[in-house]
Amino acid sequence: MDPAQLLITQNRAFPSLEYVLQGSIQDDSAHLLKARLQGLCDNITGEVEQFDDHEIVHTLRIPGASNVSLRVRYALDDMPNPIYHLRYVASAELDKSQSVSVRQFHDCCVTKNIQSFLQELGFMYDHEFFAKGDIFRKGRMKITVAKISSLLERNRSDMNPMQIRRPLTASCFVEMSLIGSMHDDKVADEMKTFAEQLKPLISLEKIDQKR
Amino acid sequence: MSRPTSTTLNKLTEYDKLQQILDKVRDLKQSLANIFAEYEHGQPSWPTILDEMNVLSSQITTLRASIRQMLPLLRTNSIIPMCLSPENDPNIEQLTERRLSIFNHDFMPQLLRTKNLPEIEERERVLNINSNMNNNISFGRTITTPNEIQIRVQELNSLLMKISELFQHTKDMTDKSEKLFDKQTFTNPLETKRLLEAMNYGIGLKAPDTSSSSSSPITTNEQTNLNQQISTQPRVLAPPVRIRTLPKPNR
Repeated sequence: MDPAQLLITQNRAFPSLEYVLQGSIQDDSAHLLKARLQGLCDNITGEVEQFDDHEIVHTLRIPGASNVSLRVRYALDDMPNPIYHLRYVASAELDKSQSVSVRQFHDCCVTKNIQSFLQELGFMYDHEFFAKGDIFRKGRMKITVAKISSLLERNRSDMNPMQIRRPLTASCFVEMSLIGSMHDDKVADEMKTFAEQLKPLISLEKIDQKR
Repeated sequence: MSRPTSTTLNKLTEYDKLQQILDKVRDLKQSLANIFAEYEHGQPSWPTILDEMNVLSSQITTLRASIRQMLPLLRTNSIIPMCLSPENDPNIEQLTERRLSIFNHDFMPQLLRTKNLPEIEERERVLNINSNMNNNISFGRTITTPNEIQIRVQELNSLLMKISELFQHTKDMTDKSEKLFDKQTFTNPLETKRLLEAMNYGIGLKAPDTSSSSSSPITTNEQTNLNQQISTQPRVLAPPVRIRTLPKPNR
């Protein structure tokens, strides 16, 4: 039914679901949260995995229907030849009974021409941002604590995006996510229990549906 | 061992009483022998020891009680009518089951003494003092004089005061730190809202494109604006801009 969904269906034989809880933490308290996460999460090497990603969102506007957005993401750390990652996330399902947000999710790795390809398909550049931070894993759960910054100005001639970043807020974006294949209450409970352990530092909530 | 008195009237009964005492002594000896036998087999368990001691103490008590009944009689008679002598006496040896063979000055004071040895008395005294002190500490001792009650009440009151002060102090401290912790904010709801909107819907990230001539007003994510834009503007305008910005440097 969803064009984007049809577009990427060939990559996945079954629909994937992403369970999400989100929140934010102020920069000066972020180290507390990170320390706690480091203690709670699977941490074999003792080192925290870091990431520095650039994400560009392309949107296909369909008159009379809801827009479809595809997210292209690549890591700035492997800059010469980054692996592009295409991601589709639907808006969260309106299920009041679930304690976490559940949304359709598809992703695949793509070549670097993905952006021009999307343009050809009629997708339009929507927005872009940088996410730099740490990633923690706990079983199947993935928790990211990232500083979100936007482009100061989209200057085509300036090829170094590092210098034109502007932090969006004085807080870090925290997202706990888990990819599953079908609805599973146990997963939601697991996530909720883990989120409880991060209180009162941070309260991870469902995605706001009011939009 | 002892000779019944010659009083004809009480002869039988007194003899019977003596026999009873002898029986009791025999029982006591038997119990003691049992205990020693147990010890020779190895250390008996604590409850067993306690049981044996119980038996012994009750036997001793009854023995003493029956002897006390006969006290007037015993006082008027010599129980062991013998002379001290440095010579070996086979009769004595037989009576005491070979524990004693000479009835002389060395042994007799020991055997006939009515008081404990001074060392043992000293140890007993110490034990008594200790047990009294323990009783005092655990307040198990009964208090009789009003003065002592008064003192005890004051002691207890001061102890209670100290404890309550201690509790109050700890409570104040924890309350204070709790309040401090509660006051500390780790998240800013406004920023949370902005971040979540940006991440989920791109609100706030859609900066105006300064370099491009397209007058796209996508600063805020108002659906109506976007929809208008879609209908009025050709799609081609924005895309070329994006194509060159990012993939280019990678080529």
